[in-house]
Amino acid sequence: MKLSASRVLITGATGFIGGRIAERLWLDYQMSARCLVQSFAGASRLARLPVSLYPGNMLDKDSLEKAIGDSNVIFHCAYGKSDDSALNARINEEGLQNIGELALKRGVERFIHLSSVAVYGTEPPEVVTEKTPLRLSEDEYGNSKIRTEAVCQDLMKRGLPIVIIRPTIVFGPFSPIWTIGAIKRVLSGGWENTGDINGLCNPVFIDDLVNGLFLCVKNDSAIGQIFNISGPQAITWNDFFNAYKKIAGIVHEPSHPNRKAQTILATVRPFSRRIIKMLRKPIEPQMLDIYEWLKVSRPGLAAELYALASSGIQEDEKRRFNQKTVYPIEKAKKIIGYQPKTFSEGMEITKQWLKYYEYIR
Amino acid sequence: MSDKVLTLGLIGAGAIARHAYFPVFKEISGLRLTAIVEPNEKIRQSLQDRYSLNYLGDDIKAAIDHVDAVIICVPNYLHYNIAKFCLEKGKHVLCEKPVCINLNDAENLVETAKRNSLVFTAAHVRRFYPAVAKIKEMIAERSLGALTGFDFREGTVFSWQTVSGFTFDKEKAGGGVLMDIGVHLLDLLFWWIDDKVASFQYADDSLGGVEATAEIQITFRRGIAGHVKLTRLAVLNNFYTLYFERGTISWNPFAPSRIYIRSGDDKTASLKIRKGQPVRDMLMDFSGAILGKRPAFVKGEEAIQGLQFIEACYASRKAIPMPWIIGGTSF
Repeated sequence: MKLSASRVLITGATGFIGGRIAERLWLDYQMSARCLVQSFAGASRLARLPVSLYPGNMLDKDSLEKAIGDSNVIFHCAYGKSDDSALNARINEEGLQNIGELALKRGVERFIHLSSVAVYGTEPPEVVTEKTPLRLSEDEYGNSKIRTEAVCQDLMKRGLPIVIIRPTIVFGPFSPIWTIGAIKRVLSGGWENTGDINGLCNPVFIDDLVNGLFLCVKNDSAIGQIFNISGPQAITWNDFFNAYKKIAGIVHEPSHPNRKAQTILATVRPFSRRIIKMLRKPIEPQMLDIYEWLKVSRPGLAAELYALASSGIQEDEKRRFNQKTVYPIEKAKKIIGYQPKTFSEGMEITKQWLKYYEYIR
Repeated sequence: MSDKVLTLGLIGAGAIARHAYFPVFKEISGLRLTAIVEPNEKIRQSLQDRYSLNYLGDDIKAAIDHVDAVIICVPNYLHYNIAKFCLEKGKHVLCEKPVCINLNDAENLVETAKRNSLVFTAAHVRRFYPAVAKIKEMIAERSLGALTGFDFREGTVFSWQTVSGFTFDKEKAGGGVLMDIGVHLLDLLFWWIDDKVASFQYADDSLGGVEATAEIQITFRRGIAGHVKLTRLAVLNNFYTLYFERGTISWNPFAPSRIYIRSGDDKTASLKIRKGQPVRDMLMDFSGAILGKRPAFVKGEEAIQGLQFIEACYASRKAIPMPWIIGGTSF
C-alpha cells in the first residue's frame, strides 16, 4: 500500500521510536499522524510537529476509539514500563488486544507491532533468524514481548494484517538506553577494564529501523511476516562503546578529580548497585525527583551519583556483553528491500545530536 | 488602609497553583484567600476543607464580588479574557506568565489597569530571588568592569504534568519553550542589561508545532551581545553567564542561592546568597502595590517588552540546522 496516502495512528508516540516515526512521517510525507499520548509530560518532542495528540492509554478503550479515528495504518509502539509488572502485562497484552480488536473492526490495512529480539531469551544461539524458537527467560521484558506476539498471532489469524518487527540494539538521537545511557556510561567510567569482554553487539540506527517499518507498510508482501531488524553487520560491544568514548573525547580511563571521593567510590562501588536496587522500589519516585533536581542544579554531583549507581561492568551484564549472537537481516532485505546504512554513518549523526544537547562538549 | 487585609481570588487551581501558590498563602498576613474558581470538580473537592472560602466554584462572575484582587493561573490563552473581566470589575491582577499570547491583548490589559488605577503585574517570579537582585547590584558596581556580553542556557527534560495539554497546543499556549521558560529568562536578561535590543537572530526546532528548542543571538544598543539557548529536550549546562571586561558572573536558576564569580586571574569564587521565598515575596509585593506602598516590582510594561520581543522572534523565525532531523530521503 502507499504509505504517503495512508492515515496513521502511533501508539507510544512520546517514546523514542514512536517519536521518530511521527517525525519521519512529517518530514518524508508531510503527514500529520494521530498520536496516542499517555502523559503530556513527555510530549515536547512530538509537539514540535503538526500532529494530533490524543490523551489516553492502552487500557482505556474509549480513548483508543478517539485516537484511531479513520486511521488505516497503526504503528504500535506502546508498552508498559512501570515498576508494576502486573500492570505492564495488562498494558502489553490486554492493551494490544484492545487496539487489535478495534483495528479489526475498523478494517485497518496494516498493523506494525514493535516487538524485540528479547523474545529469543537471555541466552540466544549464535545465529538468530526469524525461525529461531522463542524462549522464556528471567527477563520479564522479553517474556512480555513473547506473550504480545502470541496476541498478534491470534489477531493475524482473525484477519488483521499484522507485521511483527524485532529490532536489535536501537541507537541514535533520543535513544534512552543505547545513546543517552551509553554516553553517560562511558562518561562515568562505566566502560573501562573491558579486557574480558568479547561479545557482539547488533546496533541499528533509529532511521534504519524507521525505514524498515515504513517498508513494511509499503510492501504488501510484509503482511503476516516477522522481521529481525538490525544494522548492516554486528560489531563488538567494545567497538560500540568505544565509538561513544571516541566522540566524548575519552582517551584514557577517566580519573576522578577528587582523590578522596575516588577512594570512597572505589570502596562502595561493589555494593552500591545492590543497595541502590534494594532502596529503589519503596522510594523510587522521591529518588528520581531528587536525581532530576540534582541533574539541573548540581550536575557534577548528579554525575558522581550516576557513576556510583552504574559504574563498571556488572557481573550480570557480562553475560550479555560476552554473547556472540548475530541477527541476520536477510529476510528483511529479500522481502521488503531493507538496506541499512553503516554504523559509523548513524554514529556521526548521533554525535552531532549529543553535542548540540551538551551531553558531550 | 495599611491594616486592611486584602481578599484574594485564585482563578485556576491546577498545576502552577498547587506547586507555587498554595504552599505560601497562609504565610502572608495581609492577604486572605477567599475565593477559588476552578472548573475541575475533583480539584475543587480536594480544596474544600483547606481554606475558609467565601466562594469555591466554577463561575468567575459569582466569585468576583468576594475579592479585592485575583491571581490568574489558567492556561495562557484564557489570560486575556479573564484579566480583562477582573480589571473591568475593579480588581487588581497578578497574572501568570505569559500575561497574554499576543502583544495587542497585553497592551490592552496594561491600558485598562492604568485607566482604572489598578495594579496589573506579571508573575515573573525569578525577579524575587535575592541572588537576582544581587547580580543587578554587581552589574551596576562594575567591580569586574563594564558588562560586555552574555551566554544564557536553560534546558531540562520537560516533565510538567499538564492535565489539559494546552502547553503543546500552539493556539492555546502561544508558543513553545520561548513563550514558556523564555519569558522568565528574557525578563532577567532585559532587567539586568537594562537596554533596548538593537538586533537579533532567532531560530528554533518547530516543524509546524510548538518549538522545544530555541536559540537567540542578541545585540543591545550599547553593544552588549550574547546568546540564549533554551530547550525542553535535554539538561543543558544551566547557567546564565554575564561577561565583563575583567571576569564573569554565572548563576544557575535551579540552584538560585549561589553566584559564581570568575575574575580576570581565572579564579572562581562562589558567593552564597540566601535563597529567599520568591513566590511569597512576589505576593507581598503585589499586596504592597495594591495598598499603595510602592509600584509593583514587575511592571505591566515590562511584561509587554518581553512579549514584544518574543513576537518579533517568532515573526523572524529560522530553523535551527539539525542534521539529525532530516528525513529518510538522506538516510
